[in-house]
Amino acid sequence: MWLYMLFLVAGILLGAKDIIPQKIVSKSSGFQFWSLLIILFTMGVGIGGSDEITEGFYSIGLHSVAFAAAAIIGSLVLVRLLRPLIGRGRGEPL
Amino acid sequence: MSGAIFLSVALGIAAGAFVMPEALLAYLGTVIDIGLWFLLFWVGVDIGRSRDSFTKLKDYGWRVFLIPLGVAVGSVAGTVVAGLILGYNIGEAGAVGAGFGWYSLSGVLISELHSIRLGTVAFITNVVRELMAFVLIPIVAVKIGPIEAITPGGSTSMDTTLPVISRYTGPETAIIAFLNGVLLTAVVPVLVPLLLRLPF
Repeated sequence: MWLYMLFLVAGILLGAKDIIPQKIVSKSSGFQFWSLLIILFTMGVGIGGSDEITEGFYSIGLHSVAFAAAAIIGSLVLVRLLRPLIGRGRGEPL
Repeated sequence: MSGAIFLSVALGIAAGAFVMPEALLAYLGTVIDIGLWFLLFWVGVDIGRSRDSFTKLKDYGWRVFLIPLGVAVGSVAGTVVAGLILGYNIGEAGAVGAGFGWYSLSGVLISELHSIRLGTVAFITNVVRELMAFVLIPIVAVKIGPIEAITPGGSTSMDTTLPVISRYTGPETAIIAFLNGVLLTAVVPVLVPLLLRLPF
């Protein structure tokens, strides 16, 4: 977890100081897109290759999907309800 | 983009189940770590280049903490409701929701403190939450709003889902998303054991 933060903070500092050449920075979006796809593919391999998870999906998968959907819906609804309190900085909508 | 995300996960699952040699599976964590470091570095560069975002974060003040609070309470409340329907007690269902997407820790913690079955439910629930988040974030960002787009990922809004949030909402929301993920991650190891102690 700390290494994740370290790379993020390093990026923030280098980005803020404009040290990285513009030619490379302009490709940032592409770098993020392709690395994300590689990570997700790898995560998928982990799921497909784990007997514990694949077997779990068949036996208790429905409960897990219901829990995941309920957690997302619950958090989405509550943050939406809190939105009028959150959403403004100096009168400006987020 | 969500189509590409779904496809890459699906192809990965198929490769993992049918093609990938078992010896290579041991290196998946390393590949994911290196990929995340690279990814988060570039997300950081984008954040750092938008200096105005930090100024705005100061403007939001204490209100910005309402987002992780809403995600935490909403996640636990949602799983408690689902759990009561499915036959779990409040503490068990709440603990599953209190993983906030951090599947590795919540699964292990609940297996250790309660039972392997509930630990497996927590593990899969939080894997599924993360997968659902990748698909839902772009949709929620467009249809509902940028702040709401932070919520599906839970604690993963500081790492794995952060690039998707950043791409669909912008660097300003990415900073709030990161803060949301950090706070939720800090709460998981405390809240899960507390919920499991509930006698009902």
